[in-house]
Amino acid sequence: MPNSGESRSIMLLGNEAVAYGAVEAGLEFAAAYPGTPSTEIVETLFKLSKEYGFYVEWSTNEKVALEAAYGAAIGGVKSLVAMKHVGVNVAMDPLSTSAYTGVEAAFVVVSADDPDMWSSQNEQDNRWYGVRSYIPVLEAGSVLELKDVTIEAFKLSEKFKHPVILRTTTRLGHSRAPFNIGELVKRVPRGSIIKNPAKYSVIPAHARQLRRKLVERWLEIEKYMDTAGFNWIEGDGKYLIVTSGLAYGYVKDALSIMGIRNYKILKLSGMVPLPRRLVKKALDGVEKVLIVEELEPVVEVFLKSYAYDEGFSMEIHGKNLVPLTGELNLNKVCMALSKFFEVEYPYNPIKVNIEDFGLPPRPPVLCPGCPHRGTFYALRKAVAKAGVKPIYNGDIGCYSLGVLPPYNMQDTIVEMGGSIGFANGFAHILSDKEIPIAIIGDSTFFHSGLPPLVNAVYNLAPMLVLVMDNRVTAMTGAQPHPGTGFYQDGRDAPVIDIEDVARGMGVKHVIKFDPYNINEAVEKLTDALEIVKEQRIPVVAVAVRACSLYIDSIARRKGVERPLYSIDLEKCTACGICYNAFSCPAIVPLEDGKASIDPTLCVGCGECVYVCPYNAIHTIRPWTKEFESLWW
Amino acid sequence: MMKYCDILVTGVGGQGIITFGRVLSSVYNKRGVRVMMAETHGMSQRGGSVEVHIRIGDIHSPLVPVGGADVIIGLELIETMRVLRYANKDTIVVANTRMIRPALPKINMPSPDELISKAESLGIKILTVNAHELALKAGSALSVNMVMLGGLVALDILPGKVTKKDFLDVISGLRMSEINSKAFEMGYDAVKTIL
Ligand SMILES: Cc1ncc(C[n+]2csc(CCOP(=O)(O)OP(=O)(O)O)c2C)c(N)n1
Ligand code: SF4
Ligand code: SF4
Repeated sequence: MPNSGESRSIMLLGNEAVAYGAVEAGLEFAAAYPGTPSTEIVETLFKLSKEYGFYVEWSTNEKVALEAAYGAAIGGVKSLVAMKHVGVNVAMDPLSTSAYTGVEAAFVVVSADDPDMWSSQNEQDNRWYGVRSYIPVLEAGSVLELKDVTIEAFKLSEKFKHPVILRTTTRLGHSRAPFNIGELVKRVPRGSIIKNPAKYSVIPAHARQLRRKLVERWLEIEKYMDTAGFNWIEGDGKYLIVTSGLAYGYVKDALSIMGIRNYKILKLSGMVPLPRRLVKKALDGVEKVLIVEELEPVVEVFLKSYAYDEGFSMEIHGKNLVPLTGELNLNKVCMALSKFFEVEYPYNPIKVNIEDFGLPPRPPVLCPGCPHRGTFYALRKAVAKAGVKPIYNGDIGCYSLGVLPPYNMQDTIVEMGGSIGFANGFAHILSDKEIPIAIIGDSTFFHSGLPPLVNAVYNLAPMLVLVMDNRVTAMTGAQPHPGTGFYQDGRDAPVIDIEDVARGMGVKHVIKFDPYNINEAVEKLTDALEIVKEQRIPVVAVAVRACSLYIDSIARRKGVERPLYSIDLEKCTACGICYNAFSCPAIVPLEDGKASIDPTLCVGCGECVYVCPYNAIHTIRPWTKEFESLWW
Repeated sequence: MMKYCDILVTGVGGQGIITFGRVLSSVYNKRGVRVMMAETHGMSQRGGSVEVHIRIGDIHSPLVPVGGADVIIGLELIETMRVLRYANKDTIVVANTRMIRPALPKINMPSPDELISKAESLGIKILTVNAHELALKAGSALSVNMVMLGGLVALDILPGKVTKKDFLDVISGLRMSEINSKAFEMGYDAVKTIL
């Protein structure tokens, strides 16, 4: 880790660079809920906070995180909140009014967007949120600028005492590049009590005043964008290319590869609000314009309207040449430039018809030893035993992978908390034998499962709520949450028990089981389904067993030997249940269809023992006390 | 036209592809040469396809373009085939011959020889290495990534006159550095002999 003042360049992940930038800018308070591709920002802040004194927390969801950081900024403390793009939807209520009130110290909202949906349900372009909420948006022109633009976001926010959205993307946050770390100073947050209701208590009379001032401030911010160091015009020529955020990097590379020389670039790392005077200067004397931006035509819409106002009449191209969907890449940008400049497209790939290769797909799958696998397997049996017809209202987390074969047990997945939410609808429209089963993770339960569960109890919605409690927020890399019992840095934390929460909300039947004990899990789930069927009320079942990837990483770190299981080939009948119906990746079929356990992949969970009808699976290195002590 | 080198590394989650990329980029960063590396690891589960893009030189963006790879390094054969669209007629592909079965029920595995000859019939230059076997010889199946890194260095097409020693210096800072260095050397030698 670099020391203060050191200036040798080091390779950092983009998200790490954002964290370093924030600390360089004087960060005092950070809150976040994990979400790809934003998570590493706050993970890095946790590491840095020990030395540099600022406060960091994982909050229960994005709205809570945003309010915490917003509150701290009202209290005069430089704050940051980070989330993935859809997290901003969750936080939108307070964010929408934050520009009205402003703040007393810098308040930076990092929105990590996911063009191409590498790990998300949609690819919404959160620059629009800046437009509709009067919040300026900054985005680095390439990974290389990420740290500097983070610092600029703090400066801008501090100057106008106004929230700023720092937009990153999967490509920016998950690329590594060289960075120089500047001086980092220790800062312990110390805010103050604020008594200014005209500004911070937004009753209608105050809001009307604030709204007028907001519009004035917005014009000032637009002027700032005209001359800010992160926006500029470079080159000269009759053809202008306008770049928004990371499009700049692709455009620079593409122009160079294609040997194009006579061009002018308007490079915008601050595009909301669009700097009107700078745009006018760039358009002067130009014959033709191409706007290169990822996803939505945010710059295009505003630039065309300004051009009209100013009486320009040149050709302006944008989404007619640059695709609206998916992330940008050199191919897309070179194609757009080749049409715009009428030059040759530089790439000539070998024509490969990939279907001819007959390649099997390789989606991500549940890990070896994943407790979710046992729960899905047991749930399927219980559904059959109880004689109910389920709709599986799924949710977002590792268990979303239950949508794939062999489980096929996620009929709906839309957004975090949607499982219980959708079940609240299905519960009242199905016949008695048809039951909604809401499947939700532990972290998701705390994030957005509580209000819909209260609703189910209150409105007597028959459903089984199955909480898959693997003790951590596994999908985003095993961050702790309110039920985990420790903080990111390992210190003990209070435990909020999911069973207690459900009972406290008035759920009459709450059961708990260990998915590693599949037989017991089947019994308990069958009972639960029968109660739902007969009594027409919500029942909560909690499957408790830690994420095996997480436990395995601890075992490796501590040098604890894992148990190991093996298949007795004498007893194995080649039925395929373990590798087809159960599908642990550590179990692979041999040529003759019998099963074999790959000792490098097996984590020693023992779930498969219950699955084999012929008792062919047994342990060859049993569980030790030491291994058992890693679980909780 | 600027001088740069575009490298695509592919394989299966858990094979150490990101470590491969980090060693390579660290060698260049130490020399003050700009390098960028893009990772596709959206979800933390093991077992999915992983691609790492590494671009070296005076560049501003991290993704290798389709049809623009100078080298493709495949740590697993099915995944290597899956990314052939990145190749052009000058691209060199170095492929581990080993296949890893995706953990899905009832799938048909292709034959490695058939895959390789299909790729060759399209005019793709492909060098094959049994990296799994070499890694086991070096001392651990987990060092397949270093075997393949050795193979990349043996091609002698990396820009900026980097040497074997530059890589071994960085590898010496990794966990299991002895096994990894040995695996690197073995991959280097294996590719040198088939060049
Ligand atoms: C609003 C929102 N915030 C964050 C995410 C990112 N995310 C995806 S799944 C998940 C939580 C997973 O935790 P949990 O529910 O405990 O399930 P697990 O992965 O542990 O099985 C998160 C934070 C998201 N998809 N949507
Ligand atoms: S990371 Fe954990 S919860 Fe997610 S699939 Fe792997 S074992 Fe299961
Ligand atoms: S014990 Fe069985 S189910 Fe568990 S990881 Fe090993 S092979 Fe897979």
